[in-house]
This record gives sequence, structure tokens and C-alpha cells, in this order.
Amino acid sequence: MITARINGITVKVPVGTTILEAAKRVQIKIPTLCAHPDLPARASCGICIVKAKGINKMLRACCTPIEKDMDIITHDAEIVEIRRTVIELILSKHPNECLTCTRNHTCELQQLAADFGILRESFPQIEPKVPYDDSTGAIAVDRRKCILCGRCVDVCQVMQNVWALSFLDRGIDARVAPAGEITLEESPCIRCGQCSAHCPTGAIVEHDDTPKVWAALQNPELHCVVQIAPAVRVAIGDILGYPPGTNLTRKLYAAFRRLGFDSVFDTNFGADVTIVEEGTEFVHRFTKAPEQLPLITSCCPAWVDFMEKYHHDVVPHFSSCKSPHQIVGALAKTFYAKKRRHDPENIFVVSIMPCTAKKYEITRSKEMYASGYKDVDIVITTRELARMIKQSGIDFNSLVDEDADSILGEYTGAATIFGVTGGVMEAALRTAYYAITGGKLANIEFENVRGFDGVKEGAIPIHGKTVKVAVAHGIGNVEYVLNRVVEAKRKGEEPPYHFIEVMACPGGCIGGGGQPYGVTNQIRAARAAGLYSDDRDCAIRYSHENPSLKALYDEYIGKPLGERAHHLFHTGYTTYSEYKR
Amino acid sequence: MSKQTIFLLRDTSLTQDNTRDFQILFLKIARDLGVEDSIQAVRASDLGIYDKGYVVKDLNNKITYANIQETDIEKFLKATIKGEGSVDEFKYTADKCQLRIVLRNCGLIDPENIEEYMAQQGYCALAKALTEMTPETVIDEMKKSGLRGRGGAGFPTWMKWSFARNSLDETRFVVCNADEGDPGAYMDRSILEGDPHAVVEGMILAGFAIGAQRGFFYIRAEYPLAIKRIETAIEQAYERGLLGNDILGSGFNFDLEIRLGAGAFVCGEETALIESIEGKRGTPRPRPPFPADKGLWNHPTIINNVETLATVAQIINRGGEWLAAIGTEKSKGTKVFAITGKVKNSGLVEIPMGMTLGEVVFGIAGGVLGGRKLMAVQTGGPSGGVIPLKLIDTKVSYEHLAEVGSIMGSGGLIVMDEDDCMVDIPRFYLRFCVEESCGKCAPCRIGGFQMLKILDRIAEGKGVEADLQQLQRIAKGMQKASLCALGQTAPNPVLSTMKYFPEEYRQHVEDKKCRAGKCTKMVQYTIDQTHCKKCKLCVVNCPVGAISGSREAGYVVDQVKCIKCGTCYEVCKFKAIVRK
Amino acid sequence: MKKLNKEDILAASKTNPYTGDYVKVGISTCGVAAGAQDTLNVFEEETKRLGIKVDIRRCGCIGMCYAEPLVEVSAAGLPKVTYGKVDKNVALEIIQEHLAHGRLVDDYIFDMPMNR
Repeated sequence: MITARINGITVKVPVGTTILEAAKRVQIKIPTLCAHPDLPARASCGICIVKAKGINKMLRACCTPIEKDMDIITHDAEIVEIRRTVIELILSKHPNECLTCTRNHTCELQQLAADFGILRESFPQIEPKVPYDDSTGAIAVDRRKCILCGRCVDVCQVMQNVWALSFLDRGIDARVAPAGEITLEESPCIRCGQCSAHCPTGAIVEHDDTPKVWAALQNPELHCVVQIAPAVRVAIGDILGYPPGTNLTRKLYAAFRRLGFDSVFDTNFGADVTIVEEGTEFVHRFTKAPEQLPLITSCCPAWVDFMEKYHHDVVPHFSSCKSPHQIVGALAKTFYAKKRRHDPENIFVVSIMPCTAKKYEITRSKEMYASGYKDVDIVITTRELARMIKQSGIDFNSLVDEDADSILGEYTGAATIFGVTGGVMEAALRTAYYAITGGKLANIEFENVRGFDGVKEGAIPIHGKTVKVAVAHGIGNVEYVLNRVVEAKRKGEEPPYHFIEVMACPGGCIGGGGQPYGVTNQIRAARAAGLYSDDRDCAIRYSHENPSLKALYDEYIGKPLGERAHHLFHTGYTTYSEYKR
Repeated sequence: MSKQTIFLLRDTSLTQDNTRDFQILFLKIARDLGVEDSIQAVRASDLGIYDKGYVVKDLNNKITYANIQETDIEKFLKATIKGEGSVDEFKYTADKCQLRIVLRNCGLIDPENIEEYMAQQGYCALAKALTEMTPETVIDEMKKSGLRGRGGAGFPTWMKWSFARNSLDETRFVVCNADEGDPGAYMDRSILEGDPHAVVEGMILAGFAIGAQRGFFYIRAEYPLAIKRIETAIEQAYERGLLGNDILGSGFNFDLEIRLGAGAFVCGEETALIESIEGKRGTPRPRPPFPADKGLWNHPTIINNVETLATVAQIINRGGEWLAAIGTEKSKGTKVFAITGKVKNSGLVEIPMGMTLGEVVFGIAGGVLGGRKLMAVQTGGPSGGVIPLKLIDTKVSYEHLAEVGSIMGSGGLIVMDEDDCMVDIPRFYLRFCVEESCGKCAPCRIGGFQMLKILDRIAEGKGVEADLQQLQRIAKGMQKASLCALGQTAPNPVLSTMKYFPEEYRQHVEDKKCRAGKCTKMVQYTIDQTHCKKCKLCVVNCPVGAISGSREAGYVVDQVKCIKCGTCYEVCKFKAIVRK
Repeated sequence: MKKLNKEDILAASKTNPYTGDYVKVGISTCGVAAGAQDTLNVFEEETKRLGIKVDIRRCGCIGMCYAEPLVEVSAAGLPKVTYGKVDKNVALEIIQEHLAHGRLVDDYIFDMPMNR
């Protein structure tokens, strides 16, 4: 521990604490712009500068460790004036379009300008002509608004290991774009949206699909159904004025009906189906076809895209099961349509997802049209839903809780934890255990696949054998796991894992690219706690025990992995190169 | 033939050159005295002495005589050839002259021949260090010498080395920063081309001192000859066991390799250089941690300038106190300068610290070209400032140059006369910094660009009073908030010229005039009625019809319409168009 | 090649490779840019053709860059001089006057005081 002084106040912190962190301990908020708790300090913006007595250069608080007996001044006339100059310089290369920008009210640059009371444009505007890139249909890039903080590059290169974005050129012409100046759609981008979740301004945002949803809701011919992912329910509260992690499921059901949806389903139902299908798949491979192990989960579309581009060698290991919301979509236009006598052509399925990659998933292959129609018509993110709720005049906080339509809306505790890293694994293990042993687990909560370590490994004893599992989140952590698998294969050894879960976003879907801004590990933990709590509150915590699910299989599907199941619930994979050009 | 006495003759007057006449007279008197076969009297081009009348140098005995008048020649020849009488009163020793320590071998040896290097005590320092000294005593010798980094920052070299030495991390690196990027600076290039082994030996000694196993030369790709000479030197060193394993049987292993730059001035900055060697985009890292603590691949790395490394071997050979005896209290040793600009003898000079700028420019470099009046000198390249004529007696040292608002820099020294515009010069340097900015941090990337736009407008005659305050404001922001020294020092030329030549800025902004005539957009063309012959050639040729008038009233240029193309100036046969 | 040891280095430091007459041309970038390669070629070819026995050597930047190409001549019993601005014609003059007849050439000598 070392002692130092900040603004005259003595502070005692462990060695290596940055000045920024140390200042927080004494209730001082040094302004920052490019710093983000998820990423190592890049120190580019120059806003967090502070003075230290005896050092004639100003220091950057975000990256400089505070040293013994340092005497720091965080705010004085000179420092504030320089910060203002830097903000105004940044504003001079930023379009003055706050009122018509997606980030109006959530933009970090806007907040800084407001906090500093910038009332004038002191410098002439620099207005380069740059193209607008909405080529992926999931993530839209408006380079004019980019302040070159570098968060998206660090996220895409280091955190996600995708390398779709890099810095090009230098000086005033420096910009963030895919290498070779191709569009995002032609680049290795997997549309995970982590760039948009970390961007401080409106430079990278989710592609806005709300107009299409409004149009559908206003169309009297269409029967609109909605489904909501588990991760959305514990995150949207951030925007609607609730503490992080608050579970707003039943208020959301009510809100959907107010918005005009005809039926309210829950993606968690699809998650239960996924477990039944994938669980069966796993048990088959584990007991009868071990050469096909490990089995790798496939419900994350960014991960699927990554595999199809970068890791063709593990294609045979992927579960053929679709993601939960695609399953619900397919069922909506077949089973549900039949049962409630709606013409599937007029059914419009909207998925509310924490994820931008899902926007791409709904058209990725012909299996996404298994019902004969587009199984899911549109995906909107948590952020877009929040805008719709605000726009619609619903007094959300005063809504009375409602239920979903149980036919495709009832869910178990195993389903709801899909939204957090390790959740799919846990849910699958619960059902797999029953399938192999016929019995129930003593402890249903698998602590060793919970938490936010990049790679979590576990060994679960089932019926005399040991099931070795690995859970990775954040694509940057996948290399380690896959390398071990590929290495073992090359040497002809037993695979190091039997079952692998991968989520592209750190924390799993709760940290998804379409979730409310400002996520930190603390907030991820709160959202995870919300879902685990939901699990505990469920009466039924095994996917295969879901009554509506059992009815579905009895009446319509037949056996898991059977012909109809295969047609509606399973998909194939194509491999292609990282770059389209 | 018996040994002749060789005399070099030169008229060193600043305003005329009568060497030829002097020589004719000299030879006539020699004939009269009957000694013409015993001498050669040769006209020299330059003897490095200025404003001392006629100078005669006895080349055999290396004695120089100055201020010899025509009437002294007879006495002179009688004394020197016939031994009658003495001419000691004419003897002249240049007290302020170059002291070539770093450049001692440049121009002396063949840089591609290691034997010639070794004949000049080459690698003796390495032998001494590896067999008689320890790394700690080597660093101690560096401390005694007081050597400071010659790349511009002036950080004490021994201190950098001892940080790396004392690190807990056992993998360490030495890097030679040969990315010399300052416009007009080529000291490092000449050292690398002229005495590559000195730098190689310095690297090996540095490696020994800090306990490194590998060293890198980071040479800018625009120096192909330097790259070739260093490659050859490294090869020769490996062949003779001076690099590689178990050097000189001491158990010390050291490997050297070359990495090339790729056209980025910013990669001369330490942390950006490290990023470049690591194969990444060359942008600076935040410091701390400093490279001596966490550098290449997060290992302790010392990065030294070429000139610094070229001094190391001599410090070890001759002892640290030897270097400390040269220079000022806080700046020891010598510095190589590349003197360019409006100066008579442009080139590389090496001078002891403490010599004044005036002594360098007028004593060694021959003064301003054409005998014109000195306006200012600029040191430190795009990071430095100007020193006006009134401060020309400033001593060359880190501390003295900083006091007057400039920096030592890497050694560029530009001489400017009255034809240079004190708004245009900083504009040139600022444009350089804006082009070379890596773009990582907002203050430099946007601030530099905005400052340049303001200067451009001022140079075009569109400046306003508020612009000068804006320049100061942005400059302050850049100096304090930029991530690296490129951004922090880019405003220096502007601030320095504003401080010493505020009148020039005022003229540009308020009067819309450029005194030196360099800012072409503000040049005014007017008609001198006394010379004008009313031929109307200018009227006819003006592309915008800006000249009008009559034979009676005379012709006038409409300054608003005038686009300053200069056509009228060129076509007028009577020199009636005045350009200023 | 034999790897050196300390004794070898000390012995080498006492050698003097500069015996005999020589013409030394500055052949670093500043010289080459001013045409020193041509100058060097003239010296090599002409001295060979005329049968003048002199070592043609190279060196780095002598420092008086404004006077490149620079050539240092130590020959014909005369003291060492440095000629500057030595283009092909001046080179021929140096060969014919200085090397062949021991007469220094007017107007091209640069002799600057410096300590090494």
C-alpha cells in the first residue's frame, strides 16, 4: 500500500493503482473519454490529464500509476482550460448533429461537452467526406462521428480476435475501417456488435429496424408475435430507470401487448427445445459416437460466423441445433399457426435480442426458412425496444405484470440461464444427466462453469464416467480452447473436452452488442445474478420437464432429432473465407 | 627536388576576394628574393578563417599567419625561407574550432574496412570492458562522463542504462535509434556511413553494461547507404568474433540485427519505435512505464541515439573524466551539428558544448551567405525554436538553449537571413508535424491541423487579431495534453517566432504584408510611375484586367482584382512594376 | 576467419595502414549526391592509364558538405591537402598537376582548423 495526496486529500491504495482509480477512492471523478473499464488504457484523448507537484509534464490519470508521496492536482484553472481546448478540438472534427443522432442523450462526448459547459464552437469545423457503411444490416458505421478513441479497434482485435477493424492512415486522415478500405460486410466482421457497445459516440450503432416493426404493428392484416431473449429482461431496466439486473419479464409481456403485439412468446421456450435437441445430440455422441466429440454449442450466431470464416476444421463438431429464437420462429409459423388457425403467411415474428448478430442470422441460410416462410421476420435489440417503449407513451413503471402465451411462452429455470456465460452448459448438463442416468442431480447449480473467467473448465461425473466441459466467452478466449482440441486431434489423443460452450460476447448474452450502454463487469455480474435468481424462482428447472414443451413434442414433433425435429430445429453450415474480396 | 615550403594563400575579407592579386604579388616578391623555387604559393578556396585580411598558411609546419598586408610579404618570406628576422606577430591560432570526437574517423578511415577502424583504437574499448571491467564499472564511467542523450531529450545516458541494469527482468534489449527524421538533419547518417564500427562497438558496450543479449538497429529506410555500411560492419564483426557467442572469450553473448523504418517521423519517438519493431502500427505508448522498465515485448529496453552510442567507446578508452573536462557544467562533451540554410559553409561540424552560436555560425561556418545580415538561427528542427540575432551569443548547451526557448534537438541548425519570413518558417515545420502526426491523440491530430489552418490563413493575408490568441491557446493544449513529444513540441517554432518576432506577425495580420516577400499571396504589385513608360504591355497581359488608367493619369494596379500571378512583373521591360 | 582476442585488438591498434601515397575520396551520401562516384572513377581509371602509383581510397563524410566532392591527397612528397568541389575536370587537373608534377592546384584547396 502506498500513500499519496490528491487535491490535498490523503489516499492509501495498493501499488499499481492508477491515478484515475485512486481519485475515485476520495470521491473525485477525473473526466475521461477514451478510457473504458473493459480495455487497457489507450491514453489517446488527453482529457484525463492531471498535474503532479514537482513534475513539469502533465500526466494522464487513466494509465499512470500513482506513486508514493505524489501530490496530484486534478482540477485547477489551467488543467480545466486545457481540457476544454481538447474537447473543443474534438468537437471541431465532429458533426454537430446531436438532435438527429441515435446516441442523443447517451453519447459520452455529448455528456462531456455538456459537463464542461461548451457553449461555442471556437474552431472551424473540419468536414471530411466519408462514406456511411451499413453494409452488414446489423451494425452501421458513420465515420464522421468517430473520435478515434480506439475502443472498437481494441475490442475487435484484442478482445474478440476478429480483426475486422483497424486504424488506417495517419494524422488528420487517420480513421477506423476494415483493412483495405472494404465494407464491413466484405470484412471478417462477425457482427457481434461489441464495437457498438463500446463506442462512446454515434460512430458505430446498431442498424435501426424499429420502423419495420412499427409498420408491421400498424398493419391490420398481420398477426404480430414477439419473443424476448433471457438477457434482455435483466438489462433493459438500465434504460427504463431500474437498478442493473432487475428482472422485468412480466412487465415486458404487458408492454408488448400495449405496443400491439397479438401474441407474446418467450425465447426461453426455444431454449428448452434447444436443450432437449442438443442434449440428445450430446448423449448420443458421448455414449455411442465419441469420435464426434467434442460437441460445440451453436446458439450464438457471431460464433457460428466466426467458425465458418476462421475455423473450418471444427465444423463437424458443431451442434446442428439452431438458436432458440429461430426455433420459436419456425414453430410460430407451423405449430402455432396450425393450432390457433392463423395463416402463416400473415404471421410476423419479432425477436427482441441483446444481440446485433441475430439481425444477420435470420437470413444466413435456407434452414432459416424451415417453415416455408422467413421463420423470424425481424430482430431488434434491447436498445431499439427501449426506444419503442419510450416512443409509445407507455408508463412502463406502472404496468401490471402479465403472463406470456404459454404455448410458446412457458419456460424452465434451465432456459433462462442461457443468457449468461456457462448457462447453456449448465442447462444441457442437467438434462444430459437425466438422459444418461434417468435420475436427478444432487446439486443443480454448476458453480465451476459460472463466473467471468475467460475460459472455465470443469469435470462432471456422470454414471461412472467424467464429462469434461469448457466454457469460453469473448471470442479472444476461444483460441486456447480450440488449440487444445485441434492439438489432441493431431496427436490422435482423447479430446480434452467433451462439450464446449462458446459465447462471442464477454459475460455471454447479458453483455451482448445490442444491450444498454455503459456495461462494466459489475453490471454484467448484476445481470447474471438476475438470471440465476430467475432460475431459482422457477418451479421447474429441467428443460425436458417443461409441460408446454412436452405437449409440443407429443402433438407435433415426435422424437428429438426425428424427422420433423430435424426439419424445423436443425441447420447446416457452410465454410467460406474471411474476406469477401 | 628538395623539400619546398608550401604556402596556402587566402583573402579572408568578408566583402571582397583579392586572393589572385595577392598571389601574383607574393610570387613576384619571391622571385625578387630568389626563393621562388623553394616555395609553392597556392590559392586556397577556404582556410576556415574569416575577416582576418590576407592569411598565409605554412602547410608543412602547420603555422597560420593572418592579417599580412602586401607590404609585409617581403619581411614574411625573408623570415620563413631565409631565416632572417621573425614574423611571430602574425601567427594566428584559431581558438574556436571544431573538436571532432564523434566524427574523428569520418573522413579519415574507409568505413568498410575494419582494419582501418582498429588501427584507430577500434574495439580496444570493448576489449578493455570485457576483460578488465564489469557492467557496473562501465556504467560508472558513463556517469563520470556526464554524457546526455544526443537525440534531443538530453537524458543522462548512464541513468537510463542503470534503470535497465537494475530491472528484475533478465531479458533486455539495446536499440539504436537511427530514424533521424528532422528535416535538414543528417548527422546520424554521416556517422553511420562514415564510422559504422564506432556505433556497433557502442551497441555491444551498451549491451554488456545493461546485460542485454540482443540489439537492434532501427534505421530509416530512406538511408540505403547507411543500411549497407552497418550491414557490412555487423558482418565483419561477426566474422571476427566481436559479435555472437562468447565475445573475446568473456562469456558475454550479444547479437545485432537491423530493422528498417517505413517513412514515419513519429517512429523516431521511443515508444512508437518499439511498436514498430514489434510489427504494430507506429504510435506512441503512454509512459510510464518507460522503455528502460518495459520496452520491447515488455522487457527493459534502452534506446540510444547514434551519436550517443558513437561516443561510448571513447569514454571507455579515455575515461569518463576526459569527456567531462569538455563542455559546460551541465552539458558535457561535444555535439555534432548539421549547419544548413543561408550559411557559407554548410555541412557537419562538431563543437564542444559551451561554444556560442555566434562562434559556430561566424567562426566556423563562415557567416551568412553573401555577407547578408543574420536574422535568426533555428535549432532542434520541428521541435525547436528560433534564436534571434540579439541572442547569438547564447552558448550551445542543453540548459542555455532551453533558457532562450529553444532546444538542442538532434543537431539541425538552420541559418536564416532577412529574406526568410518568420511566419513562413514555423508554418513549414508545423506542416511537417501535421503530415507526420500519427493521429492517435486528439490534441496533436486536430490541434496541429487547426493551428496550421490558422497559419495558412495568416500567410494568405486573411488573418485576424483573434487568430494569434487562438494559436497560443491551441499551442498550450498541444504542449500539455499530447501523448508524445511530436505533439508536445510541434507548437515550439510558432511560439518561439511569435515571442521574438511579434512585429512580423502583426504585419502579416494587420498590414497584410510579408516583409520578406515569402508569403506570395500577400505580395503586392504596384507601378512605379517614374519608370513607367505607359507602353501598356502590363495592361494587355494582365489575365484579370486589374491594371487600368490613362497616359495622363498614369496606370494603377487594382489590389482587389489582382491575383498576384506576377505576369506584369515579368513582361515589363522598364522595371516599372514593383513587387513586395 | 580467426576470432579475435584482446591481444589481437591491441596489436591492431598500433598498426598504421596509411603508408604510401594515396588519394582519398569522400563517398558518403553527401559526396555521392554531388558526383563523387564520377570523381572516384576518374581517379581510378586515369592513374591506372598514366601508370601513376597511388592508392585510391575511400572515406566517409569529411564534414564540409558544401564543398563536396572532397578529395584528400597525400602524394608526390607534398603535405596532405584536401581539395573540394572536385568534379571530373578538377580531378584530371589534380592528377596531371599534383600527382604527376608535384604542383598543388589553385582555387580548390579547403583547409579547416579542427582537432580530432
